[in-house]
Amino acid sequence: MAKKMSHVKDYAYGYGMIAPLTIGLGVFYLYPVAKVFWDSFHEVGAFNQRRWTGLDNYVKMFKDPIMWRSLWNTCKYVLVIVPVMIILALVLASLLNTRIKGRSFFRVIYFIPAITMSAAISMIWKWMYNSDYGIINSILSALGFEKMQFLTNPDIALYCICVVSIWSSIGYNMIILLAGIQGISKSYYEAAAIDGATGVQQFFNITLPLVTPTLFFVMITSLISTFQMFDAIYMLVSKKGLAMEATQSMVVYFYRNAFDYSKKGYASALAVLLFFIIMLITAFQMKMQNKWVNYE
Amino acid sequence: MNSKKFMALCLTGIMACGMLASVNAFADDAEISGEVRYAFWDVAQQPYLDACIEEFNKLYPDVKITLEPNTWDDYWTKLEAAATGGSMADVFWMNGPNIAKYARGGILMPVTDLIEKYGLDTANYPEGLVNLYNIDGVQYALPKDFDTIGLWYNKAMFDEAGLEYPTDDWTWEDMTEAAKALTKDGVYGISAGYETQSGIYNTIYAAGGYIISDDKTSSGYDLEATQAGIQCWIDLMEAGVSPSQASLEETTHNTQLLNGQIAMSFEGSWFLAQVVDSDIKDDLDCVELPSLNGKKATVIHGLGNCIYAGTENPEAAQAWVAFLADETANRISAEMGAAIPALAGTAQAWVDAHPEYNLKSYVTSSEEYSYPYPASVNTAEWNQYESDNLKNVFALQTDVKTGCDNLAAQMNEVLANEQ
Repeated sequence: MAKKMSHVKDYAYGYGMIAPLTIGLGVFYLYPVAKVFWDSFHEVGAFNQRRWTGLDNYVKMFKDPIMWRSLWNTCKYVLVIVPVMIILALVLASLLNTRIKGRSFFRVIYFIPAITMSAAISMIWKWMYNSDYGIINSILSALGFEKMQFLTNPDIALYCICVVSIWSSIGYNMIILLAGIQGISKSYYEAAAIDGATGVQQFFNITLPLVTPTLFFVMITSLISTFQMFDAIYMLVSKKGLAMEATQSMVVYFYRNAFDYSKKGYASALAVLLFFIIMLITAFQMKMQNKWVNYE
Repeated sequence: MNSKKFMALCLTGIMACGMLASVNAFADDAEISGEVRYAFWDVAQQPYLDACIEEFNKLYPDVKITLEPNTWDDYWTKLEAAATGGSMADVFWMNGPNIAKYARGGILMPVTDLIEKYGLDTANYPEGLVNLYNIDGVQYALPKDFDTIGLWYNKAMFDEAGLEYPTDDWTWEDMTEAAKALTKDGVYGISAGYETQSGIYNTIYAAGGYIISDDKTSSGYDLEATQAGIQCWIDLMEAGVSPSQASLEETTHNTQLLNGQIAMSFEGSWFLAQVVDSDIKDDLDCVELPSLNGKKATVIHGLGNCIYAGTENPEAAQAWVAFLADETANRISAEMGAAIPALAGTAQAWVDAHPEYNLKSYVTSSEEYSYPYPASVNTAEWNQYESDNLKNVFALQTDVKTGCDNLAAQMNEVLANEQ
């Protein structure tokens, strides 16, 4: 009996310890997720007035050309940002793992964007991109090039936003990859050096294969966060902006439906679609990982 | 001129009597107590509100007014969330595009009782504004201030080009000619970018069109007259006398005017605060909007103070709203240059506060040819369609007729859903 009581105590203790996180998760994640699913079958207007509409939102969504355009924009962000960012982060991480001068200084420099508010980063880039006063255009015109309208030209605005996003996320991923690289046993490198392998050969034959578990983690997280891209676009392109349609991601289109057009039900359906897209892609990656990820 | 001054004096006298009467009403309930949270979005008006609170607390020492400043960008998102969640400020700023939505949503307490209790008279406020806040026959707010649109210009640039300054009698053609003469060496004559309140809304009315029908059931954008009120801007754009839509998106017209990049711009009366703070304040002045085919028009808008239907201190909230609608608060607003006060007779003090500018033009236009700000229940929604379509028209990528017809169809759909 006494033993049983102590078991109960143990359980209570355990649940008590995880309660703050579990409750937070429930209130701020699980409940809203369930609510979004529920709302996607309704027409939800101002002040939560709602009406059941069944699958109407979904039917409308698949016929909505702006949704398809936003989805395609989102794919473009993913296709540009994720590979470029990962390659750059990996190169930087391996460079910063060598004995170069001012190594800690560079590590700090590259990590600073990761700890800066993304709104502040966007404001500064917006200023740099400005076609009349921006520093980039000042340099371009000093070099004899024509001034460019980076954020209002629909053809290039999306790539300009990619630059900002890559720049601001590179430091965080670099630090994670650096930790992965430092976890690789030194003996591999020593053996390779004795056999006469060059630095580049060591990178491709030792570092790259053995950092794949970390690389896998970085890829999954950056894919998910890029699919959910919002703040850089929201800050850099104004709602009335000429490049809005050409740059808006699924989440921006979701936000505009929910808060500008007062169509929260339709916005919820968009969120559900994005949820399933991300889930499928992540599941696919999990399945594919044994093809290329090496766990020691 | 003299007779006008005399009139103003008379009006002030009448108002003073009115003030005495209402001060009595205020003194009757000095024992009211409680806290009133007051939400607003223009931080520039905080000094005016601080001054109002000081005066208000002389009458009601036990009422605590807590200011809740916001930025314009998230004011409406936050307000709607607060209204949905039931944690709304007791008194808050309201505007024309949103009043019907909040009134129909049951969020607002009518102000009919307090008008009676404090002896206020809606006839003392601009009719267009009182009607703006009258939804389904119920008054939900008293106008706090009003704004109209005028033409600001840079005198130094006119001098340099050897041109005469604009006058209150200017026509659209006069303005176009001047804009052409002023455009050179990388500076432009005027900003002709896509703007609603300080742009097309004025010219649409002047051209004889409308944005929304009186019964709020149909869009006016498919009318020829309405499209003519947009075409006049596109003509300026095509003539190359304005920075491009893209340039104006990145650096707004008011900033470009203050930087000396453009010589003329349509600006609302709220622009005054930026003018007096600017480096070129001595070079700027304003006139009435030019007439279009002999007709003048300005859109008039003004904020209202609304009370939350679920407030815990309705009496204190009512006293605060009544105080803001009355003489003292309107005078403070005028003298501090916060905004043109809505109460009849107090606008002159706003004009007199800056005799170096032709501010009278804003008051004249409000009295003689102002049109109410177009709004329906889901204004914000069709406003979004307006910018989605018209920004491409102003970027010269779509012609006026195609853009406007498309907009009219989308707007009519929104309006049909309101019924």
